[in-house]
Formats: sequence, structure tokens, C-alpha cells
Amino acid sequence: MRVALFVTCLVDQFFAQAGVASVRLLRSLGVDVEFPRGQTCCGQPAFNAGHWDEARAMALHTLEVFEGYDYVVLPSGSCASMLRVHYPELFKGRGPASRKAMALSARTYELSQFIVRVLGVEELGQGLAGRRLAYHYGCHALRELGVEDEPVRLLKNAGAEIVPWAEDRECCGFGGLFSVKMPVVSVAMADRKLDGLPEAEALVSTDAGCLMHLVGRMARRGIGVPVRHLAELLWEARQGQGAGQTEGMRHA
Amino acid sequence: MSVRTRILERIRTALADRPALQLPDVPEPAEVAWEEAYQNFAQRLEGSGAEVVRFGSPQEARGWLSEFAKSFHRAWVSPRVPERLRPDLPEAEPEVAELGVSYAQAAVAETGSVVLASREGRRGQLLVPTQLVWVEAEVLYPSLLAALRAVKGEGGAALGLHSGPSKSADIGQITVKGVHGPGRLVVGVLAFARDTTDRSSAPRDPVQRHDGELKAFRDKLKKLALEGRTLETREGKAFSVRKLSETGKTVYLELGNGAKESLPTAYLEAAVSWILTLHGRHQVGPSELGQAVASQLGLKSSVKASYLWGILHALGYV
Amino acid sequence: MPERIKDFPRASASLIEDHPEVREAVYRATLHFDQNRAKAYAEVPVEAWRDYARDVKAHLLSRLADYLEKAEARLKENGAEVLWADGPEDAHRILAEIVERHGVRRVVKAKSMLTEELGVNAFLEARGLEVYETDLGEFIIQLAKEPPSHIVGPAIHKSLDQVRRLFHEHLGTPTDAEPEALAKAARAFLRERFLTAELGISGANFLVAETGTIALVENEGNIRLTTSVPRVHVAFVGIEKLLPRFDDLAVFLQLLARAATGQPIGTFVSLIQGPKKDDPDGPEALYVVLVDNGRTAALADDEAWEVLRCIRCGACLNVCPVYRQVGGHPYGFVYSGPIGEILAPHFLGVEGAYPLYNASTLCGACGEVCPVRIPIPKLILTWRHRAVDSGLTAPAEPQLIRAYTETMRRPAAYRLASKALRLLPSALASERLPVVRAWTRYRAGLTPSPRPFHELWEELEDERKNANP
Ligand code: SF4
Repeated sequence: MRVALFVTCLVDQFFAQAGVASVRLLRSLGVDVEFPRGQTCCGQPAFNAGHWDEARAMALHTLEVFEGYDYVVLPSGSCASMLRVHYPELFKGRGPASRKAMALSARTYELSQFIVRVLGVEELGQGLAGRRLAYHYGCHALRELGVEDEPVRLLKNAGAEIVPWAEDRECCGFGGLFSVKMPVVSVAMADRKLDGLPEAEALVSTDAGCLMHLVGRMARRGIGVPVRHLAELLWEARQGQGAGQTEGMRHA
Repeated sequence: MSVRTRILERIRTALADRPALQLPDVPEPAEVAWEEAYQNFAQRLEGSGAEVVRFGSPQEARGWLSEFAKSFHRAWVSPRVPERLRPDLPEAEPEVAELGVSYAQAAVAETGSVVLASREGRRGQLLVPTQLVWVEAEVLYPSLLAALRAVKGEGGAALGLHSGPSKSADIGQITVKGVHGPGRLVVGVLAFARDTTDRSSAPRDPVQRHDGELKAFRDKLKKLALEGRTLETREGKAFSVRKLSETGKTVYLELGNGAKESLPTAYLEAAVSWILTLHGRHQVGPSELGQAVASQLGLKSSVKASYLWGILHALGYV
Repeated sequence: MPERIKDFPRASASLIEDHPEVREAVYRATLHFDQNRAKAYAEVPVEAWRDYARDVKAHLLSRLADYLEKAEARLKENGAEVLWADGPEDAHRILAEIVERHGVRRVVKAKSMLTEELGVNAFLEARGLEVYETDLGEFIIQLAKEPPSHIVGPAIHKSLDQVRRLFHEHLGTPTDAEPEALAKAARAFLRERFLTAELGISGANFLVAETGTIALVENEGNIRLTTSVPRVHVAFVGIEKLLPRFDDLAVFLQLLARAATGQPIGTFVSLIQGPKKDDPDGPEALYVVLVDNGRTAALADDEAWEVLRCIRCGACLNVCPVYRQVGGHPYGFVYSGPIGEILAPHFLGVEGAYPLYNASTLCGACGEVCPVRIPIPKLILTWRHRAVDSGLTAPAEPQLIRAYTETMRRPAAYRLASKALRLLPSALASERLPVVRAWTRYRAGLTPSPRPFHELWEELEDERKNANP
């Protein structure tokens, strides 16, 4: 079984430790994960803003880089959804590229989804015993990929308590270029979400885009709850109590 | 070119290269027994702020009505409301009446609605502050679909479904009642077989067709004819089903004393439909049954109710 | 209208910053609607109903001309007069004739988004007629001289106190009147209008082609009154409002109510079968105006026709996180929220509707609740793509995206950019770039990880080798 990690540009640049955690976690589960060196960005920012020719150019590059793998795993819901849901649409009726896109789509998984659905693993370890976490359901993971309870199940099975949060499924307001085209609305959305944030040791999600937005807004508002990528917590879950304090996202 | 032609032409051009898509079948709701339908009906209506009262007999309804009427001075009463269900109040125009009394064309358990016909007069259904609607057991349909099928093309120029008192949350999201239509809706369900002699002022109401069940009934009837079992009227007179006619339209009976009788199958089917519409209301006697059949089929003459009852009794319908 | 649409980014920002009470009222109302919808959906086989509703509407639209002819024939048999309107001018001409013919001076109106599209009120008022909106919400905004801010709850942006002030001014109610008292005052005021108006104007939720039945759904009873009491009734019906069969009403009436407010069915449903015949009361004349106003153009759009399935339930507004912050007014268009974003370009063109379809994070919530399964996010994307193709975006955007793409297509360039990001850590905080400015004005600047993941990979490889020598 050849498994490729598509770390995604945001994790690569801003959540590097989440990438590291993903690799360690997958290896610990017996997956000899590879890292195709040519990978860059899936093209989602361009696609969502309507620049489909550019999105296609980036997607073609990605199709090439990930050719020949049985699975492509991403520590990011929205990028996984780009490959899984939107690549086939982007290349509809475009001959070989369309076939490649369909094939890649079928092999693409978000990290927790891959662990639960493909590896069939639901118990990673007890490394999160007693931890109180708030979980943010990223929109694309939730509604496009159908990743609903996988992340939370893995966290809970590792002993974490997921604190109730009425707004846990509300959009964080990021939306790619939306966040800079309509910044006031974007942060109003983030604020709505954050106003209800309960006390927790960390705010966790499987989407780097959302985390980036939330961390930026939280810092500005002085909300001190650390923001962590799901991959890091799952790796901690695997390791056992106290181990593997990873750095989390930092902000200026 | 007329606007009409232009619009239609634009549509036809737009659709020229597009295939006609399939029209799906209408989802058929599950059948529900009468008692359960009533429970749903009451629960839904009460859930939307209406009051529901159930009556087991005409006397009970009458008694309640005279009490209820005491808190009003004038009423508008639909011409469809039978004599026995009219309050003892001076009648008034809808604009000034305190109470309006309607007689439902149908009622819907699934949505908690009463269906009112414009033939009654619409102002009386809308301008009064309090509305009382009578619902006969047999016009309570389990689903909206069944009710719509029953009232299709009936009732006059317009039908109104009322599913609670008039309400609005447009002022600061706070619900208030009685904004334009009646602020109080009381529904009286007549949960007993109707006194069919008192139909003069009420038009015929729909009895549901139960085609599946009727087929089963015909099979049972055939079997009964083959077996030649001895049956009994409620008075204990013995008789048997001798045979069915070639066309299946007539049932031939042999009475205890050797005399011969015949009975149109349609009578039996009408009786079965009526019983099934009442869903589980099996406690009917021969005369009630006979009247129901006569009224349904528009007959004046005897329907040989005692044999009708005997057959249905043997087959477990009553 | 397009001018106001262009203003969305500013109007939405100023609403959030200057009118927290509106944001609060809208947020509470929509949340409440949506929670009720979710509960109501859960009680019925909603996924099967949504499939069915989608397919019925798709079928209908695929044979629309035939169904319109059929509906017209049935309506005529029922005694209604059928008229056709391309757009506002036709609608106005038709109304003027009816007003003339029947000597109309007073008009009562039932809530209808289509008449908003057609500017019916302004037209009639300009001709010296009295026009009264009778839905309580519509009445409130008519007093306030505002357009509706939500297709189901037109006044959800108004707080109780604002309504109190309005009613005090116009109806003389006390400034601290309770909602019941306010409703009572409106009832009394409008009751008199109902009884004296010569004309009632309504829209239609559905028009059944098989029987020529007009179905109208509401909670107050004002639509029943509007269509029952005055001598003349005019119903404006968008050509997409048809349903093939009478039986189709069974699911559509329930689905609409559940999607809109979470009720099992609207408190009042009118099924209108024609003008009064042997009925004791009811309008003597019924006119049904079938209106295009951009709908045939939408139908001709192979990639975006699905918007015509819409039954105007408002569920997509209620669940939309953007709409919830700002309400309907900043959109500057008759329809707001997700449905507004994908309808506006059909009515006004991709340019006229710019940038409404950018007012979305593509969170997908709207598509998840739409009772007729309109793929709203996909249609938003389609319009964004067309906007880019038509050169509507800010000039810097295509340049930026092109540069980004060129970087991402070449791993070497990407690595270089990655290095540059760390050598010039201030790059992400550079206020000179508008993109960065728009980010950092409201959020802390971003700091990249000390080393990107791709530079850590070698170490991870070593780690593996050491673990399994
Ligand atoms: S698009 Fe769908 S959810 Fe939105 S108003 Fe129309 S039918 Fe309702």
C-alpha cells in the first residue's frame, strides 16, 4: 500500500508540526507514508475565487505529483475536499485529465477519515486523558467530505473531553479570499463563533485555514485559548500522557 | 407578437436541447388507523395553539355546545352545519359575530388541519375572533395527500386549510395570536358514527376508497360463498351465502327457511369503505350500517341491512 | 438597484459596525427559524421529500411551456382571466387596466416577493391609490418605508422597540405597548381596509397546472382575507411557481412550511380555484398574471437554471452565516442571502449583480437545507467564475492569482518563496499590500513556522531509518 502525504501549503508553511505529527502518527500505525517532493498547493484559493484556469493549472500539477499512490492523505479538510469533490468537476469532459482527477478523488482522504475509514483504527492510545478540548467542525470537511464524528471520536477515545460548544459547526468566517474581500463580515462571523467558545485547553480543528483565521482573530481579541491542529493532538493521543508537547500555531 | 407567445417561445428555445426529465410518483404516506390519526390530529392542532374536543355521542356534543355557547352573544353559523350542531345563539353577520361555526369538508391528521369550503362563506371563517369547526369522524384523513384527493374539485371556489389560530411573530419575534384571522380555534371532533338521517343540510362527504382492502374483501366473499357456512344476523336468524353472480356484482343468499334473497355487492363494498374510513370503529349495528350505505349510494329503499351486517360480521369487519 | 448592490462590502461593514441591534435581531431570528427547521426536518422522511421535490420541479421546468399552457387552460375553465407579463412595464399596464375597469381606489396586499420585483406598490401609489400591506411584517416595513429584509420575515431586522416607535407615530399606540396591543392596533387598522378595499393583490406559492389551483401559505390570515373579501383579486405568479399535479401539493405544502419556519404546515393555506361561483362571498373577478421578469433567461442558462426550483422558503438565509451578520438590506436587492446571490445575476447580469456572489465563504450550509436541493454553493462558484471571465474583479486580483499560480506550479519556485517568507518575516505584516492590510486590520499578522514541513522531512526520514535500522 503506497500512501502519500499531501501536507498542503498552509500546513507546510504555518503548521509544520502538524505535518510532522501526521507522519509520526501514520508511521506508528504501520503506514509507511511517503512525501512526494513536488507538492505545492491544491489550487483551492484560486478555484473558490472563480479563477478556474489557474486552479486547473495547479490541479494538473497536483495530479501529476500524486499519480501512482493508493491513498493520498491530507491533514486538511478543505484541501481534501478540493481534490475529492472539486477536481472531478474542474476537469469534467477534459479527457485524460478528467480520468486522472476521478482516480485521485477516489483515493483522497482527510487524515482522521483515513485513520477511521481506511485503517479501521478508532483507538489511538490514552494520551489525551483528562484533556478538555473545543472542536471546530470545518465546513468543507463537514459538508463536502462528510467528516463528522471521526475527529471527535478519535479524540474522545483517547480520553479527551470535547466541551459543548453551541457554535461548533458554524463557519469561522475565513472563506479564502473572502476574508480579505469582506473582512468586517468575516471577522463578525469569527466573533460570533468565538463569543460562545467555552473554557477549554485548546481549540482544535482539522482545517489549517480555519485555524489560521481563528488564531489571528483570537490574538487580536486577546483570547488566550491555544489553537491546535488535530494531527498534533492525535499524535499526543498515540504517545501517552504528557508527551509530545508540540508547538501549535504562533502568531505575531 | 403577444407577450404570451414571446414567453412561451423563449421557453421552448431554452429547452430545445434539453431532455424532458422524469416526473416522480407522489410519495404515498403510510396508512394510519383512525384512533392514531385522531391522536396525531389533536396533538398537532394543540401544538399550534388550537383547542380540540372529542365527543363520543351526539348528546355529549350537544351538551358541550350549549355550555360553550354561553360565553358568546352572537354567532355566524355556516349553512353547512347540521341542525343538531348549531349553537343556540342569535345569528349575526361575520363582521360582528363573536363566534363563527364551520363544518369541515375534511380534516388532516398529518398536519393538524381542518379544510373549510368557500361554499360556507369565507368571511365567516375569517372575520370572527373565535372559530368553532365541527369535524365528522369519517372526514378525518390520516394524511394531507388523502385529504387533498378527497376534496379535489369540491367545496366551491376556494378551500382554506386552517391549522391553528392566526398568529404572527413579526413584532420583535414575539408570537401573538389573532392578528387577522380568528385568534381562537376550537375543533370539535364527532368521534361517533354519524346519525345519517340528519343529512338534510349537509352535502355528502367523501368516504375514502380502500381499493386494496376491497379486493381482499371480494376474495373473502368468494371464499364464503364456496364454503357455504351458516351465518347469522344480529337477531340470530341463520342464512348463508349461496353464490356470487357471474359478474360478481350480486350476492345470492339462502335464508334459514329456504327462501332466496339477493344483495348487490356494491352495498357490501360501500359498507366496508365506510367502516374502514372510521378506522377501527367496529361497533356498528345493522341499522346504522344500512343508513350509511343508503346515504353513501344515495338510496332510499332498504339495503337489507341485517344480512349486510351478518356477512360483515362473519368476515370480522363489524 | 445595481448601485446599491456594488455597495455591499461597505454597507455590510457599516451595518455590523454601526447597527449592532440589527445584527442582533437578525441573528436571533434566523437562529430561531433554523433551529425550528432542523427539528421539523427530523420528524419526516425529509431526504426522500427533498429528492422528490427537486425532481418534480426539475421535471416541471423541463416541460415548462406545456405546463404553462395547461395551467392557463384550467384557470380559464375555472373562470379566471389569465394575463402575461414580461416584466414591470407589462405588470403595471395590466394593473392600470384592472384598476380602471373595476373603479379601484383602495388596495390590500398580501406579502409577495414578486410584487416587490415588479415595484407594484410604488406604481399604484404614484397613480393616487391607497395601498396597504397587510402582513404584519410587511405593514411594519411599509410604515418604516423600507424594503423587506427577509423573504419570509420581512421585518426581522426590527426590534420590538423600533416597532413600538413606528406604531406610536402612525397608529397612536402608547410607546410602551406590548406586542399583543400593537398587533391589535394593526388588526383594527387593517380590518377596516380589508372591508373597504376593492382590490386584493397576492402572489402565489404554487400554481397547479392540472387543476389551475393557486396555493397561498401564511400564518396570519391576511392572505385569506386579501383573496376573499375585496371584489377583485389579482394574483401575480412567477412562471416557475407551477406544480404539475394537485397531489404534489401534499409534500410541497409541508416541505415549504417545515423549511421556512419549522411548522408542519402554514397556519392558513388558501387553495383558490377561481372567482366566486355559487359561493355566498368571495371575489367576483380573478386575474392571474403570469410573470417572466428574467425567468426565461435563467431557464436558458445551462449551468445555472437550477435556481428556478426555488420555493422561496428562506431556509438558506436563516442558515447563512453571512446573512446572519448583516440581514437583507446591505444586499441591495429584492432577494438577499444565498438565494439572492444566485438570483441577482440572472435578473441584472453578472456585472449588475457583482459582488453579491462573493458574499459567501462557501461553507455549504445553504445547500444542505434547501428543500429543493438547489446546489447553491456550486452556483455561487459558477457566477464567481463568470465574473472573473468578464474581468469584473479588482485588477490586482488576477495578477496576484497568476503570480501565485506560477509559484505553485513549480516546486522550485515554491521552495524559493518559502525561504523568502522566512528571510523577510515582515512580508506577511507588510501594510503596503492591500491583501495584507485587509487581513491585519482585524486579525493578528501570521508568523510562519520556523521551518516549513518540507525542510523537516529529511529529519523524519532519518528518524524512520534509525527506528528500523
Ligand atoms: S434557494 Fe432553497 S433554501 Fe433558499 S429560499 Fe429557495 S428553496 Fe428555500
